[in-house]
Amino acid sequence: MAEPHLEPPEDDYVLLGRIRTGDAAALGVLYDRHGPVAYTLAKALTGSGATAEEIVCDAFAHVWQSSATFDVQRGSPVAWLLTITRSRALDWRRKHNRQTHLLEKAASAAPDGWALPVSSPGDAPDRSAEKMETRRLVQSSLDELPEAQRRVIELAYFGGLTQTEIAAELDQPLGTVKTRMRSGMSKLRDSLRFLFAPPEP
Amino acid sequence: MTGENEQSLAAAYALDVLEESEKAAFEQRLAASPALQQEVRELAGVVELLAYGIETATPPPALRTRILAAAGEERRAPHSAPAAVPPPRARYLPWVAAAAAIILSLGMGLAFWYERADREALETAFQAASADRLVRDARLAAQDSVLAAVLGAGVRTAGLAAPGEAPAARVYLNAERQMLVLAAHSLPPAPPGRTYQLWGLLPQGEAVSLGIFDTQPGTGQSVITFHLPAGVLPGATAVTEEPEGGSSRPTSEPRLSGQFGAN
Repeated sequence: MAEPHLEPPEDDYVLLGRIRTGDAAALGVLYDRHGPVAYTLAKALTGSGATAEEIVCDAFAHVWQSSATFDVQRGSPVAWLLTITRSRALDWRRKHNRQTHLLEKAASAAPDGWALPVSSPGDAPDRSAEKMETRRLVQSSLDELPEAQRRVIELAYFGGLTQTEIAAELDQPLGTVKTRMRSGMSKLRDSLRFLFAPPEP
Repeated sequence: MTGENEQSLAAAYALDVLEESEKAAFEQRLAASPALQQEVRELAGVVELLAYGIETATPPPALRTRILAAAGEERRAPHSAPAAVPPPRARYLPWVAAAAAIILSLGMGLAFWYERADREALETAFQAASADRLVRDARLAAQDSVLAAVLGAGVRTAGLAAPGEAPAARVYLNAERQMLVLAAHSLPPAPPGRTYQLWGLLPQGEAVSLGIFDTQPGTGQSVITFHLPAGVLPGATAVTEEPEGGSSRPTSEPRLSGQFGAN
């Protein structure tokens, strides 16, 4: 007799598998799930909705064309998508930001930072309870970070600044920046661990 | 335990802001250190989540249309050549989803996964991730056994297909553990009152029932483990559609079948 079987996943890996076979409908589903967060990221990094659209379009085109080379070990499909999106957005910033190497005052270097503190539902176009919970947890984790650590991570994440550039920008020793980035990321890993833990049976 | 300097390099690497000049050296250390790989895996997981901390912006509906139109216009040839294997950077995943996802990926029919070397890379990634302190959990034992059955040395595999069609499922036969894992990825659920039944085909021509199963509506997927009766080592397997509850003998031609190749 058959053993009780595992929960079959309706997850992104399976979608990507379908995308590999040329299934455009699966690409549509992937967009429905993760298009909005990719757009949010691109818009926050470039400050422009129109540019964000171009970038997201490119990112999905890349997923569509390169899905056959996606390796399960590389990470999740959404991580891949967001990495492509962020990479292109940072490229755009470097190309279009006249002050690429003249770093502005810390406060304006990342104008569209994280949404802190946790706000009321507001404009949450994606009403999935799970995504709202993820957002809430990520935002409160960021809120709990010491300001100095969050600032360093913010400049790296939104500005694409290296540790050396951050040190110059904030007028801090490189060692301090390294410590703050390390500690901040470590704290985030701890507070976000519930998003990594195996699900309850 | 990685040192503090390495941890800060790992953080920069995960954020994709490690200086170019430091990247090559770091990647060399990464390749040689499972502990450092684990560190990077976890931090990359954090970076992935940071996007969700941003105030959400709604894309215009036209964007979806545009993306699908662009995809529709492209003629994509089915991928045939195996891709180069990137350095293992397995993400930190919920294990039920991970186990089934890996098995279904194995079932997708990519030549990439059939080579023994690649399966070993997957096993290495699995081992490394299992060693993580936050993943140790008694519940993992169930998922571990399925993956172990699939990834063990000497496991034989076969695609199950209808004549002339691409495989709709893949089976993994682990003789040592007397287990067979079926990963169905595009098999529509059986009609009401009917079920699928998996048969092991013995060299003498006899068909032994291994069990009944069904797939998820909407996805056509399932990952199911079957226990092999003692002494039963099929050279091939087949799926037939049977009345609910199964039959003692196949009552129709196989819906899907496949022979185990030499490994």
